[in-house]
Amino acid sequence: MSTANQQPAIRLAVVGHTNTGKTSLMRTLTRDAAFGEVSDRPATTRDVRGVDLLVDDTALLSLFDTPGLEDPLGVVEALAAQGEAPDPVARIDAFIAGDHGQGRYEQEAKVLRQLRASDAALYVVDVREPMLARHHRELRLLADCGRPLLPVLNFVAHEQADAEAWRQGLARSGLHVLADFDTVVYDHGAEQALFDKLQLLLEAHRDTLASLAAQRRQQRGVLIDDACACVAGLLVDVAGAQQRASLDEAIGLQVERLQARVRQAEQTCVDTLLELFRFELGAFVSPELPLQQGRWELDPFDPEALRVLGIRTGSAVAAGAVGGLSVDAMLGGASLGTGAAIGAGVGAVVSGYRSFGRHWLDRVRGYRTLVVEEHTLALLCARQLELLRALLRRGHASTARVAVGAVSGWPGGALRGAVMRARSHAYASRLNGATAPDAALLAPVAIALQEALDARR
Amino acid sequence: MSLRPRPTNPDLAQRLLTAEVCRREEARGHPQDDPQAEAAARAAGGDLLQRAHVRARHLRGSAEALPRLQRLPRVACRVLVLLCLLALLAGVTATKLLLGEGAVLNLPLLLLVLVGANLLMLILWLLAGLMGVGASLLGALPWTALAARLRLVDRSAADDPVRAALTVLGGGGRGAALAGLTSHLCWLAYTLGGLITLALLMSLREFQFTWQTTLLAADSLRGLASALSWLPGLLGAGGPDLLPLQPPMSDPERQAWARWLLLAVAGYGAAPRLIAALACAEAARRRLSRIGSDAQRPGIARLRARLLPDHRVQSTIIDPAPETAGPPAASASAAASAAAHGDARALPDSGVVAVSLEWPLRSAALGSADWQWLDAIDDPAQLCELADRLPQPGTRALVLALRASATPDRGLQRSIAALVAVAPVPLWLVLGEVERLRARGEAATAQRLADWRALAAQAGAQGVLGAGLPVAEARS
Repeated sequence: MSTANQQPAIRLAVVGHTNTGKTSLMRTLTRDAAFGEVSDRPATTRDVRGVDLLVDDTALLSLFDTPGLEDPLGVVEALAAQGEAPDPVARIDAFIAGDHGQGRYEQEAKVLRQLRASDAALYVVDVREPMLARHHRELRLLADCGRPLLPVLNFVAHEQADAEAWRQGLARSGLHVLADFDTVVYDHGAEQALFDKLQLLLEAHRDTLASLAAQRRQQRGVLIDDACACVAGLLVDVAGAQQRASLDEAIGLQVERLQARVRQAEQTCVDTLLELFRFELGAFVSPELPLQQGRWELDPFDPEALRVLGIRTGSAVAAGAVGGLSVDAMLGGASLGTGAAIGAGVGAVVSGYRSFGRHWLDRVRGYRTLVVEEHTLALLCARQLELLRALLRRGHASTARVAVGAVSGWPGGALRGAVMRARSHAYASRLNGATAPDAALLAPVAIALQEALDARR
Repeated sequence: MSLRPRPTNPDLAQRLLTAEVCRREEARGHPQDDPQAEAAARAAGGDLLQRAHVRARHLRGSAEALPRLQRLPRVACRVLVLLCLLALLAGVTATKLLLGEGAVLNLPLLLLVLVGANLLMLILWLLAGLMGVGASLLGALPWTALAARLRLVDRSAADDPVRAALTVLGGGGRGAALAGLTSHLCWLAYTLGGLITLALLMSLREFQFTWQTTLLAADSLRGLASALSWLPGLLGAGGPDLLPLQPPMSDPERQAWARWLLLAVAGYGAAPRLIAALACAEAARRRLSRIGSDAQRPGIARLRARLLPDHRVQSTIIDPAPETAGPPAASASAAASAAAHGDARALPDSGVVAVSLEWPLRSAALGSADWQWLDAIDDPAQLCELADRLPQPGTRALVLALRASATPDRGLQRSIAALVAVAPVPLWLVLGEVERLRARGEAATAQRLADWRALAAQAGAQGVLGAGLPVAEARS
């Protein structure tokens, strides 16, 4: 990327009063739930740490997390005590170079030093709290550093938020360009808007910021594709899962074994999703699947199975007839079409055996085949879809566990059709020993999932 | 100019290794932690798949597995060549035996031996393919058995990479395509062996040709010969319309039947097998190219953050925290002390002056005290004014109302300490808007109240009141 190769990374300080969510903003912008320490207490962050945002392995933007400004009034008094200075910036530089009020304002000095070393700052505010006189003084203090400030309204999605009051208050301080960005409830559009507004503030770095925003859009698309493919894989695997067991064994035990395999597959899928979204493992624990014992046996008259049987039999009969016809031709028609007739018959028999013969034969031999019932599949599908929605809206600053509300039934007809198609293709299920998911079965489920996600986004 | 090596296209062995690593990690539920392999992958550059290949190559255990996997295609090629040579030899031998020492040659019998069985097997293969039986019959099992025979598989190792690679090669229709390719090449070699022998022997010896039959009538035999002459006719050979079916035949007629025979074997035997072999080779190529190349597979997709990072935490802390760092400690003694004084009944009944800090709050009632509210203060000048107004006769206590949800930071502590220093009477803190704090959860509420108590103790206040009590709000 030429822009990145030619210019050093943009330096952006993240500043604000204590406990407003600066480290949370860092976590959400970097998608790194392990960055720094987050708590609902003052002075959690006590040092300045930098993170580079990369595009093609090149740092385009460096974000610097700073300690909270706890006592701006004290700093203003200390600045006043320094005496006259040619301009506000020189006064700030003198304060940074000095003893910071005999060390009392060491934390504030770190913030001002980093801001002076940066191209601009994101001023994080907690809109659940009212705007007070100290915030106005804090803003004046930061403005004296001579760097552009972009206020970021954090917690805008919270029920106690009063973003409008902050907008008015910030406007009175001369700050009219600001960004709504909740670090806990993630909004991709809000993040894009944040980069757009930074472009207004940092005109010279417009191209760099635009490429960073484009990369984020592309990453979001890839993330959704990967996540849908992961859930689609689970649904195809579970839909096709079969368990062959002896008729002599208690069905309860056999159902439990199948349930355990399904739960394990679901947990693996959840873990993969959490890692794709870069959340800590354990952020979501799947509730138990309500399984109805006794309805897990393979139903030979399942409509989907019958439909697949029809298609398979048609193809096999045609193939057999063509083969037989070739033999007829080789014999110069002397067989009078017997080859074609026998071929068609063989095709039908082979197809029938492949679809159900094995199960009926198993039954005669004293085995039953268990499958996952549709009700459970529907629930699994709805739950994974809700989980996807929740993860797409979760910021990396969130410390609460992911919660999925009550769900029931198929999320949509297209999704049901795509998943139920996999039900008659047991060979494609990794729960039956397949090494990789079948792309032909997986793709329609993944597309239906994306459509279901888009419908509610 | 970048010094980073340009990523190369991975060969089959490399892709098999990546696919096996992916399958193993998917089955285990999490990727193997190997920082060195991940660092090598990041250093190699390229897209996610290219980095996943490099990572797989650098994982522990891959150094032994990769050479064995690289040997697999070489051994497979050698086995294929050997099989083709054997088939070629079989074709030569069969033809030689049929042609004998210059006897009269029965053309239908020659065709049946050289082409008939070949065509019949081809039809069966087509049928199996169309019915989808081939894929299940020709899965991993035959390959694994063959590899075990050739001692390519380590039977003692449960997760032998060659065995796993054979499973991958046998899955997804690849096994059927590879088996088809092997079968077609063998039959092609057999037919070519026969064709070459035919051409050679018919060049060196003199043969008579006949369409002998016992069962078929003359008309039926002519019909059969005409039908079989369709393809040689297209290629320029004469058929029963121009040539006699029985001896005696002139030299040009024998030569014409010899040409007919060669073209029939080539057209009915070699050409279909060649076409089928090419089709299988293309199918195998496409299916083999898909091995280890699906970046959306969970086993590869979940490596994105590790191999293709979009951020990097700077290793240097720019301004380290002081050694005494940390939020104000809510010590047990401070909390206990404050709790002892936290009851509103501890306030005097009268002479209580209340003031709110930073945000206009008013407590409607707190115990039975007689309240006198002053204004809200939010800057040092107002603090000094308050200090001047406080020495009123009868004032016995000062109450400072604060929002419970505010963060008890150093700035507030300094203001409260300053007020304690100038106030001639004891100072109490009272927390308002507790409901707003409670909405953030029990744990957050308990922590915040503890922090307020600690701050009150450190600032010299008497204690914290109103915590947990409903406090009405009135903005002046």
